[in-house]
Amino acid sequence: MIWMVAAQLLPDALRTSPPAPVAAALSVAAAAMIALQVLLLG
Amino acid sequence: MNVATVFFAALVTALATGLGALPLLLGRRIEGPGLGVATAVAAGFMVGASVGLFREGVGTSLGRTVMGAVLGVVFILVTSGLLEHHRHLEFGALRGADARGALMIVGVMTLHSFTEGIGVGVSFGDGAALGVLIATAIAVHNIPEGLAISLVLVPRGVSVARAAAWSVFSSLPQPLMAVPAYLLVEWFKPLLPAGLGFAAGP
Repeated sequence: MIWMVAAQLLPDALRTSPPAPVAAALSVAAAAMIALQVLLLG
Repeated sequence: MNVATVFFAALVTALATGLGALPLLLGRRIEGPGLGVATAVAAGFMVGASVGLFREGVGTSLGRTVMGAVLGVVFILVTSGLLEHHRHLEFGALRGADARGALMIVGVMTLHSFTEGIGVGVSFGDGAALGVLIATAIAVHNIPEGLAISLVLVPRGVSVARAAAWSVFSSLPQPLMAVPAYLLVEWFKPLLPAGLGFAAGP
């Protein structure tokens, strides 16, 4: 999935949005997913 | 706990992937900066999911997890290189570079679903409570995977319904692998760290 993000999704995102909102959205979503996993799985 | 329950739980996790296409149905046509931010959100969820997969794998075996990740990256590079030579590649209505990108994301997500299916089956082998918990966690993280697939397919002209179908397709290995992993839990357990690394890396 890391490859998929680096090779496909990030270039797609940066094609239509500036880097700052892309970086912010990516960071918040990653943190939310990690928090959810900690909540569910400990 | 019986085989049918394990299969049904893993099937639900697979169907959850199709929910990832729903935001595109509501937005009808996401364009411009909104599309970029939505794609970044899906990417962030996948980074978070990868961190979780690595964490689970390393908790059992660091060496096998790293080996799985390296194998996954090598597999991706070889597959990507092979597809580069097919200039007239077709994927549904898509052609050329669009078809290559769509095929890669659907292919990679399908491949990494094998490991998630093993994860569901092995966890049911340790008890129904753990099985339901892991199946729920995988179902939740399948939704952004479906979103990621849909965000690649829909802007390139694939309908939302087809994107949802491809998303579910990419998770079908989960019910198919969960049952043998549940029945042969001791055989599959040592493979799990390598599979988690394989899934997280590519």
